Amino acid sequence: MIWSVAWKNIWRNKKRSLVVIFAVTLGIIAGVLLVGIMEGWFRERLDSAIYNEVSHIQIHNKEYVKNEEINLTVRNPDETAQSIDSLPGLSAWVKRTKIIAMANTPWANTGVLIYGIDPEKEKSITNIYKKIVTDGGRYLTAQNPGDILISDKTAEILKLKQYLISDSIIRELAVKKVPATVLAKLETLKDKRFRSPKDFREVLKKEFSKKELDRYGPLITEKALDYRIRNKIQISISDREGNPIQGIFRVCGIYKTTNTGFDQTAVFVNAGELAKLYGGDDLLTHEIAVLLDNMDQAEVMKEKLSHISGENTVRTWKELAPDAAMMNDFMIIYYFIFLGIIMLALAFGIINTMLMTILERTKELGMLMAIGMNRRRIFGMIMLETIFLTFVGAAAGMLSGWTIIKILGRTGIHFAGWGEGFEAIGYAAKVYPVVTPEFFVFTTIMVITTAIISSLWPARKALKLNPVDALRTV
Amino acid sequence: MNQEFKIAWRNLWRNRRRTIITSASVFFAVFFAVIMRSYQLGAYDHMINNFIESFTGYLQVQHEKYQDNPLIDYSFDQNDATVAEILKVKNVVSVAPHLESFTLASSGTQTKGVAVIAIDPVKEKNFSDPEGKLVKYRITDNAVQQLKDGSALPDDVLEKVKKNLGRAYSSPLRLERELALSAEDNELHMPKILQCAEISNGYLAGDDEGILVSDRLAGYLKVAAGDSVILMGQGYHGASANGIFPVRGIIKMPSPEIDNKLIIMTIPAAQTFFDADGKITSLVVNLTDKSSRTIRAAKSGINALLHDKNTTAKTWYELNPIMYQQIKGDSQSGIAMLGVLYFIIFFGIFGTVLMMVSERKREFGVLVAIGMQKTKLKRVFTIEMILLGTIGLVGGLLASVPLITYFCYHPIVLKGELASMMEDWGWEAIMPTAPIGSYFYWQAVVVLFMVALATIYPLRQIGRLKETEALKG
Amino acid sequence: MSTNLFVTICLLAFFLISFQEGKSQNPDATEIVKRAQDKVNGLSSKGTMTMTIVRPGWSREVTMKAWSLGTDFSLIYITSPAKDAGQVFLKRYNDMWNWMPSINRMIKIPPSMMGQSWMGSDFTNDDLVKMNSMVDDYQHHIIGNEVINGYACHIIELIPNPEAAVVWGKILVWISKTEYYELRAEYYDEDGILANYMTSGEIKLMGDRMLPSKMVMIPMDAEKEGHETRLEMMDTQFNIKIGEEFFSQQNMKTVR
Repeated sequence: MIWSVAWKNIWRNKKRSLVVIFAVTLGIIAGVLLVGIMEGWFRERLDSAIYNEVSHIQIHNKEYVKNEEINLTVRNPDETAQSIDSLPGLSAWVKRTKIIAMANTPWANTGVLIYGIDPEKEKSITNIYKKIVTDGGRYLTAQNPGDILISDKTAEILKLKQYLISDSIIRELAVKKVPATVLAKLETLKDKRFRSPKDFREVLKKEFSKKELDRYGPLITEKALDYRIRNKIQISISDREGNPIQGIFRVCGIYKTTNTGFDQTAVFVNAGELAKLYGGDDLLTHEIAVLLDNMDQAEVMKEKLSHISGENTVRTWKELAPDAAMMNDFMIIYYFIFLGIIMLALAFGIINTMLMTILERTKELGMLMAIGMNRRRIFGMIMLETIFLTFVGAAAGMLSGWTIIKILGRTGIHFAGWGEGFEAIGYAAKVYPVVTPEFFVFTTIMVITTAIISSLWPARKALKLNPVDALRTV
Repeated sequence: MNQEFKIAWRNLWRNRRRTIITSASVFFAVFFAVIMRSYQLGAYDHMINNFIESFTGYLQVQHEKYQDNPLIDYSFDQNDATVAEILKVKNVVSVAPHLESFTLASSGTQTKGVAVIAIDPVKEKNFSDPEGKLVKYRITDNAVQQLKDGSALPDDVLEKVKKNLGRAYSSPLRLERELALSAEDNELHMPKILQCAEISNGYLAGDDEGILVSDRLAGYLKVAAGDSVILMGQGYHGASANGIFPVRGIIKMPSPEIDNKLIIMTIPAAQTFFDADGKITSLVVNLTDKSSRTIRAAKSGINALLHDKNTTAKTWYELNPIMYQQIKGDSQSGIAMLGVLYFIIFFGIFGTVLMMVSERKREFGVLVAIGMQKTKLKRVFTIEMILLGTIGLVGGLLASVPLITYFCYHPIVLKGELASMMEDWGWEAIMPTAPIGSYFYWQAVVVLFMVALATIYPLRQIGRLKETEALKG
Repeated sequence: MSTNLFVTICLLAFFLISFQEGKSQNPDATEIVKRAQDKVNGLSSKGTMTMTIVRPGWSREVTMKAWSLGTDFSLIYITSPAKDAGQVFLKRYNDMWNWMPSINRMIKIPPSMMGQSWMGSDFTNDDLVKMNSMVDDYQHHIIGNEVINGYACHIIELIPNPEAAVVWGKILVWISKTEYYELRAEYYDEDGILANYMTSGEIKLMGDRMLPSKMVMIPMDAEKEGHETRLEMMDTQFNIKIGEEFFSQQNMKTVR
């Protein structure tokens, strides 16, 4: 009987019911959003490290870890290969030649780590092939053996990132409604080649006013940018006997990741072409990178691999990118504190609302008590109502929460940069919220529990009502 | 107006329960908003501050061309008078000189390119604190052998020690934590373990000619305290720089890349080596806090007093724009989370208010029926809301103060792997709240705004009130 | 009959000689470059040099003794300034060694150091080792004439062979027509921009031949405005008696 009374009560006062339902729905959406944002934020940081740089596990010769010398190749490569293939939860793996080298152009030189890779296989492990900049050529292919892929930073150091104002660029800028006065000043800079972003900026600063620079500077810089694709880079390495060997590679493309440190040293060529330099038909393997289906399996897989490939050093992404790992751990604690605060806020919000609801139903409850419904039944009725409403809210919350995350997960949330004092910082960050099913369920359960527990106290308060007082009107 | 105020006031006290519940919703709203923001700012700030303080400093004085071309040729004259003047600038906490360059290190047959950072051993303690990173204990094969032969170490304890073979520690505490022995095992065996794992080590003093070598580099060069390392390369104006340096100690740098190639020496020793008499490459300045106001003020203050016109003060974000962008990005995520909280607490207020109005429908109906003008009722209600809001607000702010203050000075101490990592970096493994600041008042403003928003709907409801229906109760 | 024979022989001889003359009067571009190189390297040489490094705001002088054998071996002994004195550099084929008596240390320069400037000058370690690939790594064409300091010169364009591991897009050299002095060299990147150039002058009698005694290398990078490196050969003897054994690590430690 209580059940039908409770049910009817819900529909009788729509406003009240909606408020409770809404509380729960909101709580779930909030929780899910929170988790999604944090998860999206961690992922962003981690993904960059894992999918551009360190993968989940890497294997190196023990001594190679200290000094990237050509002879320090991975020991027992065949056994190691076999054991990797037999790993459960393996997603992909690659072998790489990776040695210290010097890169030279007529204008500059710099130390680099040259990766000899199989361009196609590498796509299954890293996202570098997706990181080619606009107008930055193309990724490495096996069909063009003499290619070399370098980063935007390396191009800058080697003076291959140049700026040039030409007639066609001036025309393009005119189409983009750049004023004639600005274009006229650009005419004086025409056909001069600037071999570094700094040089170009200095010249622009001299020619233009601050206002003009703020408005048109970025556009001009963007259009004038000229990566010297197809220019040659001289690579010097030590061959296996310690003799210096040099070879020429031609830039095929420019990539850019969020980690300039990595970018600055990593250049990529076809493994076979690099092998031609150091002589011998064998491709030397200095690094094996493994990608798993689930990054949490990394530790376990590392143990397995260490047993079989004992002579080498096997490391997980946590060891290879300790700062990313540390941020990860730090953020988890951060997250739990905030989830806690938000759940508390929700709980109090619900308690408050429920209290007010009870207060609003004083007369009704007083009536029920007066006609003889015992207190325990009333308590049960109120709790039942709450539970019904909570579940309705939960359903609505899960549905809408899931949809919102799916949408935002694709479009991303843009932060236009608002500071504490509402100062615009001008830096746009994007977060792609993502929620794993486990978290989803976890959040929902948390919210339902919070809602029900929060209702306990107000419901008990209802029992303390004195029917006589309750029946009195305002 | 006065009359309406009196009515509103009396209304509040007439139904205590209602008043308390409604103002409580505001109370909690403010309370949670402040606590959350305080934690966000505190914990994150703690990380940033630690990072800034141990890596770049809040400001650095450098030759203006040094950042783009970190060459020793772009060094400048060291000047004690300038340092003294900088220390007098408002909010400056400490100043440490640095002379940095690159060179080749060699020992036996091993040669490697290394970064040389020359410091003032005393002043550097306030900064990157190399002394705190000295390796005092190392679990070597030798140590394990000694423990096996010598003492009556139970097998499981020995296994735990073996598991950490090769690890280096800067303090007994770290070693204890990583071995994670039971309390009694600890008491029984730790002294012996410490004794076997101890290695001789020392810091640099004054104008010592010795060097500190980073742990991985020392492993590669196969040197320990007491051995020598050869440094060779080019110095100031291309002069040849060659020398043999005794190793005073080994330090462990948390970042493996740095740990692979760092040499620390005193500035006088480096000046002789690089033929850069009296020169330094930067002055690292630490301030009281990192608010943009403080930093900007300090920067202009320092720039004004620099005599050498080739030098300039640069902020940590100018020196490290990428880190800066990342931090900004992270703080935006934090604001998003705060937004989520706002949603919830707004609901808390709104739901409560809505229910309150619902409960008072009859009361309002009666008032209008007996002749009170709706506009007057609206005004009374608005005043009630303002009063309720204020009570809740003030209460919430006051209640949050002790909590914030407590966790500011007695913050949550982190444990486990995370704590170890943070300490490796030289940071305290804590999560503090931020001290009371402008964010405090901003939260109050936001909540007041919410109260105002929550009042709008009920006011409209009053407007649309039909007395007859209301009276039905 | 004998007169005819005599005349024939004379005519033959005449033709042969003029043929030779003709050959040496119109040598092809590669030949010109080779001769210019040989003039400077000879089969072997020994001499003293002063290198002046000029920068905006300061300059530095380094004096040294240098020995060479063909294009594969050379040894340089630094005599001043004090901080650098006593150091020895050895080139054997493509390897470079450095002996530092102050720390009793011999190292082989690894590829990672080859790009570094030598003694702080505008020459890199690599330049010292690869100074003489002009003949082998390039295709040569005469593209014009110019008079420099009173000497009529061929302007020869050097385009790198496809397999050659050189960074330049092209090199232009000015070689005097009769004496084969290399009076100017311009190094271009692939986009045709001048990266640096060298000029030589002050022809003097060195040992058994006339040669430019001063050389200046000037980088064209905007960042290196006002930088230059000058080399002055104080006295040099050519075709001295010297063998491969001289160019050894052991000798680096004892040479004075």
